[in-house]
Parts: sequence; C-alpha cells; structure tokens
Amino acid sequence: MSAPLLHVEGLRVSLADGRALVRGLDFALHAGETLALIGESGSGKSMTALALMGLLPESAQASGRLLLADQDLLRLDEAQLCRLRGRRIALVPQEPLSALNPLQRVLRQVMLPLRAHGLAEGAEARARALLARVGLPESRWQAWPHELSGGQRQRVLIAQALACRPALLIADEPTSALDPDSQAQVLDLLAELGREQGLALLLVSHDLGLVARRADRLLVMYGGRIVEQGPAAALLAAPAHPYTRALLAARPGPSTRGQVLPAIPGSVPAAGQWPQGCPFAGRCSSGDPHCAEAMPPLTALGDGRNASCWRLPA
Amino acid sequence: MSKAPLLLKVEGLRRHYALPRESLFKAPGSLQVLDGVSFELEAGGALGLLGASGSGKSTLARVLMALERPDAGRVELLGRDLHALPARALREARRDISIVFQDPAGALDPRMSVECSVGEPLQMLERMPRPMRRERVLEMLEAVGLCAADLARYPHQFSGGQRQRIAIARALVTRPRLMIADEPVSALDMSVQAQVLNLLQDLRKRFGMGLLLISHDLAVVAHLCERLAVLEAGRIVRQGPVDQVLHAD
Repeated sequence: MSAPLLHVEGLRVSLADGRALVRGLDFALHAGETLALIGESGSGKSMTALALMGLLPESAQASGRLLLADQDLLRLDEAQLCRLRGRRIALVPQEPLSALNPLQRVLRQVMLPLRAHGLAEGAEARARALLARVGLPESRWQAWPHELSGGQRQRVLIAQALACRPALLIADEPTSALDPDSQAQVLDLLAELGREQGLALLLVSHDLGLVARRADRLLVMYGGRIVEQGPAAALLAAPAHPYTRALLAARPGPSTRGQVLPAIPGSVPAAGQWPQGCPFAGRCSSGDPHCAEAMPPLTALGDGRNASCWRLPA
Repeated sequence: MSKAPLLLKVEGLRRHYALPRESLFKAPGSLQVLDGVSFELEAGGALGLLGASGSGKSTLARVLMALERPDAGRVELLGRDLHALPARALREARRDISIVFQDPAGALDPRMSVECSVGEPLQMLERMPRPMRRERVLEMLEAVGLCAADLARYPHQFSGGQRQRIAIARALVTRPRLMIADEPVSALDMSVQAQVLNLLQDLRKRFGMGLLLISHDLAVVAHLCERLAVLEAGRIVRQGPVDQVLHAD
C-alpha cells in the first residue's frame, strides 16, 4: 500500500488549564480515501479538524505529529501555514452563510483562493468549471450569497475549497445547517468529488447514520480518544466497541415502534472530566470497576480494525 | 354523538406572510405558508408531521398553539374552536396543549430555577398556590427522571439531555391532553436521543396524552407515531398509517 497522505501521530490538544480535549489520536488517511470522524459534543472531533488546519483557538495547544506528506503541520509557522491553507488543505465549514462574503458575487468568491495563491491566470474559467461541477445552475453564478439556498451556498463553498486542487479536504459538519434533502445531496457530492479527484476527504460529523454510508473508513471518538476505527462496512456490520454497538442498537425506526429503545444511560461527560480509565466506563453496560481505572489500549482486531476496550472478545 | 371525541381537528388552515415591498409601485408580495391544511388526531393518538424546512411545520405549530391566527380555517381542540375563544376561555384551553421545542437551552430562562420554570405554567394558567405547585412540579420532575435536589438548580447546571427533560416536565405540568414536540431530539447528543424518545413514549402512555411530533427525521417519526402526515409547501400531500404512507409511491 502507498504511503498515506496524512499521518496523525499521538495528537493531543489541551487547554491552558490542563484539561485535555484530544488525548492521543493516531490515524492515517490516503489519497482518494474518505474517512468519517464521528463523535458527539466534547469528543474532540472538531478540535482535531481545527488542529489540522492550524486554526486552534489561542487557549488550546496541540502536540504530537501531523504529517501531511512529509511535512509536520505542527512545526510550521503562520506564513508557511498560510501557503498550505486553501492550497494543499481546504476546509468546507459548517455554516455556509457566515463563511461567504455577503458583498461579493459567488463566482468571484470561488476565484478568491486561486488569486490568493498566485494562480490568477485562468481563474475565472476554473471557477466556472467548478461551479458547473458542483451543480450550481449557471443562472446563479452571479448571485449574491443571500439569494442562494443553504444547499446552494454549501455547493459554492465546496467549489471554493476545491479551487486550488487541494490534496486534503476537511468537511466539518458540512451539512448540519441544511435540511435533510440537501444534506444527502451535499454529502453525496462530496463523496463523489473525493473519489473523482483523488482527494483525501475527512468528514467530521456527530451523525453516525448520515455519514457512515459515504465513508470508506469510520473513526469513532468519545472523550477525546478513538474508541473504534475500521472499514465502514465491516464496522457497521459488527461494531466491536460497546459505545458503537449501543449507538447503533438505540437507533429508532419503523420496526421499533411501541418498543422501548435500548438507550445509553447517563450523558456525555463535560470536556476534560472523564474517568481516569475508559471514557465510556460510567455508561457502559458491559464494563466493570477496572474499566474506570485504567485506559484500555487501542487493540488491533485484524482487517484494519482497532478498538479500545478491556472487554473485547479475545 | 360520536364515540371517541376528537382531540384535535384541523380544517382548511391557511396562513400567509407578507413579503417585504420590492418596489414603490407594486403591492408587496405574499407567501402562502399554510395552504389548506386539514388533519385529525384522536385522544391519546400520535401523529407525525414530516416536512422539509420551509414546508410550514413551525407556522402550523404556532397556529395550533394559538400564538398566531390563521387567515382561514379552524383548529378544534376537544370540540372547542381555539381561535374563536374569548381570552379567558383560551387561557383555560391552553392547559390542554403544550409544546416542546428543539433547543432546550433556548426554551428555558437561564435566570429561573428549575422549580420556577417548570411551575410557571401552573402559576400563569391555573393560579395554583405555591405549596401545591411545588408538589406538582416535583411529581413531573420525577416523571422525567429528575429529582427533588434539582428543584433549586439552574439550566446551565444540566446537560443538554437533562435540559430537554426539564422542558418536557414544564410542558407536562398542566397535564395537557396534547403535546406538540417540534424536533425534540435533533439538538441532542446521539447517545442521549434514545433516552428522550423512550421518555416521550412512556409519558404518552402514562398520561394518555396525544402527541403531535414535528420532525424531518423519518426514523424518529416512524418510531413514535402510528400515523404520519407529510407536509409540502403548506399542503398535506400524504397522510395515513405510517407503514402505509412509507410504502406508497
């Protein structure tokens, strides 16, 4: 197998007061591959995305290694990061309206990253081609952002993100501001573009059901740690970690009508207030006192799968 | 006389909003948000209302709560025409209908203790004296899985799922016959959504309350409701038993 495009090794993100939000994260992402990073509030997924963009809030510190090709993103200064952002790494943000300039027509906004990175020549043709590719009707290319629907705005941002042919595209909750029809369309478009352009696509989401089918691999986070990762189909068919199992078992649907769902007890601990051991220990149905005391290691399960649990079947 | 009185009967609801004037010489446009919506809900039944954003779901909820008047059509709650009631009678009718919103953080006043928030409808709608209020509030908190120690706490001291439980307790406190739930779990963490769905199901059975569930999430609607109505551009385009609607093309 070829070398991964992105290699994250032992990523930790902590706040100045010592609370750790991401506690040792390792994963690799290959060109042409879609990885879904799934977690609920406080899991550390957004901090991971921000660390990759070099956009962590000032109160947060990252350590570990974030290798993009051979370059460690955490060792770069701001000027070097500026040359990478939008060019090698691009972001599709969560809230499309606030990410667009309200005073500029959308075609020009798609050209922006090209100009910023000295690729002004042919920028307009490239922007037109991109807007066509993301499926924005030509009649809307000269529109102002406020004239577009949420889904159309997100298409503009995808075109903008792709303008400089980045190698890594990070989409942080790209559809949470959209209605369900547009959500599905935007995710399908991202997955399709990822394959077509050989992008390494990192889909960050809190919604397992929404992204699972569109990713090659899933990485499930809880309490700043990886609880489980592996190829999407295999992981969904037979989740190994009690957290993933419980999430999938508690999904409602037509077949559960009138039944009590097997809900996970308790709530997500506040960031940085996890048990000493497994972050899921207090809520897990198969845990024992030992689980809360010692952190389970990430154990290889074969076929590219890992899980972090003391109770994995041997 | 029919045997089971209808809990809710909605007939031909229409509501439009005026659009901003675009030209000095043209009349401002208008947007027909509800375009003749009719449906019925039996006592104790559960109806899911499914629709994309902009289909008129939230406007419908406001009209059903008598927070907005329809241009045409009527809403009958237990045989009373809600929008024709005089103020005093409307206040009485409001005890029978309550709503739970998507975002519990926005639905609770951050400066009010749980006891005040949950007890407020009793004070406003029933003028219930304080000691009785506390008893009822506590009963409802226990029904949603909270306890006496939570009475004096404030919303920020709870997690999102617990805040939604508080909002549900507040909606239950007048013992309504109908609860409208507008996306009750979509703002919650994945791992607590099932808890709140179970709670809604349980409370419905326990209090014999009707449920009108507004959601864009088919799975949630199909789990909680026997009947389903699909709202599209202000009209109900399909309605019937959930399985029938889902499998009709």
